[in-house]
Amino acid sequence: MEQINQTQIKETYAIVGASGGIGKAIAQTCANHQWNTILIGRNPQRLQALKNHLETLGGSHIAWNNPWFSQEEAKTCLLQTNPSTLVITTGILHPSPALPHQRKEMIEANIEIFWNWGEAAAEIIEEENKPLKIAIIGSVAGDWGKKSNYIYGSTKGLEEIYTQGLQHRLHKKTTVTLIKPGPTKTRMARNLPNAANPITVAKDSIKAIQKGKRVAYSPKYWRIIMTIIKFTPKPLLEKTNL
Amino acid sequence: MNTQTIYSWGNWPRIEQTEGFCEWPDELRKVEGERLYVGLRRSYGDVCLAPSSSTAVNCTPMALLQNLNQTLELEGGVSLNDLIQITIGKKLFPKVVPGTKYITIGGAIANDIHGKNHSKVGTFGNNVEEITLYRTDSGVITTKPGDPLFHATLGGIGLTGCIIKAKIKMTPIPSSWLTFQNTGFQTLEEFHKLSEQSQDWEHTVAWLDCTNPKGKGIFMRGNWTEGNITPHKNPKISIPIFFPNHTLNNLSVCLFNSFYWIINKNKTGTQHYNPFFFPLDFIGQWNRIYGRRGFTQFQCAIPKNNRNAIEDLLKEISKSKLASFLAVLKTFGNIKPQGWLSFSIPEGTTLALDFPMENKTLEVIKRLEEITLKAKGKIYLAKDATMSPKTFQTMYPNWEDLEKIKDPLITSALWNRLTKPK
Repeated sequence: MEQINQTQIKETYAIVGASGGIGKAIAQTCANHQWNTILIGRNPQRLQALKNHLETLGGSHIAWNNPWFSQEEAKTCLLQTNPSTLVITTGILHPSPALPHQRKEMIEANIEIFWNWGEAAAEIIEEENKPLKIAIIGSVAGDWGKKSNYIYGSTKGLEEIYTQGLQHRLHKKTTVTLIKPGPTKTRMARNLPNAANPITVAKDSIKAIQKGKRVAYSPKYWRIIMTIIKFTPKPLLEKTNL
Repeated sequence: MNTQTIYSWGNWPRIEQTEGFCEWPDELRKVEGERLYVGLRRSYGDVCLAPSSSTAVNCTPMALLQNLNQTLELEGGVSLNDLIQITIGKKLFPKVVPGTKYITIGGAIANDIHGKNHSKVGTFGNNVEEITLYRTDSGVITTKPGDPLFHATLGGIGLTGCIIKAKIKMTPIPSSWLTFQNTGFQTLEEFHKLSEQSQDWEHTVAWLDCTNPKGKGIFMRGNWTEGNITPHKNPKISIPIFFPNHTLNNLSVCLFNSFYWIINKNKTGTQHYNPFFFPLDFIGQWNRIYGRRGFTQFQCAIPKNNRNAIEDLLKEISKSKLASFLAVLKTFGNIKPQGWLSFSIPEGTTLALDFPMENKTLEVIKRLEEITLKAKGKIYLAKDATMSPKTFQTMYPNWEDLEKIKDPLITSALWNRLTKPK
């Protein structure tokens, strides 16, 4: 299989949630390839600091700050910045059972933002005929509801259904990739053992996006683990403390 | 919050503690209670370990550069490994580097590290223009030379606040390559003569065969030279498991030393900066070679007028038959360090030795500590795990000034051991 020589391609990645652990890692990996980025988030100081850093690595970078992104605002951003790829990386994890305000936060960060940006991108792809690739950072937690994080996991499971539908809608025009990282060394999963380096997840994500894959796990062994879990009888899993 | 047993590079001592995480400086104010801000934990002893009752806050995600000039502004979590990868393309190199790239800028400042070119540029702290700290009592503060907090922070082992960012001087280099020259020596007198004759060389260090009490070793010196720019690569090999405890013993060390002497004693040529400055970084997790028992490093600095104490130290080590896989000897130049608790002694000599944790190790190190104290020397806090409070307080009389100015909610296992013994 031909290896992708990523230094020859010049991409522009719009990264929603650029100041999060995985978003930041994706931005850094893009800059290492001398690609451009549009850093989208809600904290202007963080975005500016990240922009300054990326400019030392290579490529050109824009900080796009907005306190809340509606679908219309998302569409305006994408039309004005004209990226080649949109990656949505936002996410909040509250352990289950979660309080009502925590559930509301997870709905906003894990569902509504994805819908707003995904639908905005889909409209642009259809109306403007732009070859904009879309990628969503999900989680292995969306593959199986376990007692410690099933409410968070349910939002990630929803992302999978959404990604499938979006891919169906746009299958003639572009690719929609769902990345499912395992626990990653970010603020979200800071306390979990054997969490992966965000740069590893970033590299795996970019590789999957560039190859137009529908679903990718990061690190790859999580595909095997989640397959085993999917086929293990549920009564058996429920006896565990996983 | 998770509680786990945390290790420093030497895998000894082992302390149960709670680990926290900060991705951005504005998250620091959310940390509650007593804490210690940590980086990559390449220090050997307990200087980078929080006491059991505290939180160790991992600050390595705060690792952004703000520019790419000869005076670099960058966050404290940036590692030298990542920094060099970025700046080598612009022919810039950190002014001072230690024996490993896997340390953070915050760690370099907190331990006021030194390198092979101390005679030319001093310590890391001598090349820092500004430090921005987060303190629990006063928020974000920027300090510069002349400010007591600046000098307390250099070599202040992380007790004055979280080092959010700093401005450091970089050195322009012609290429990624150095010309080097190795010369074998048989006594400490020969070593000192070679040091004095090396004024035209920027970087000097000596490898020592510490099984020989007279001071046999190889004097290495190097200068940057013309050539191409080639960034280093990360190690391909990593030690996956702990070796059996006695893999490194007197016999294996003697064999290694003989082999090393024969191969390297009169070598000259051109070498890439990676093996020249960071020879041990070629193998990841090399500390596991010492086994689960772990190891400690004894590093001392002896003033010039008492440098005969180095020979006493070598005699003591040779008599003990305690094998040291790594022994390094360096002379300091006359540039005064700027930190209250900085380790370097102008015109002094520093000796560093790794010892596996065996039954007799603590006893041997105690004798080395006594020799160093008698010679009015110092023991390096970045490597220490065994010093007594009395020795520390004699060697570092400014410790009480640091105690007064330090952040009230920061402490380390080392600081508790040396200033608040049970």
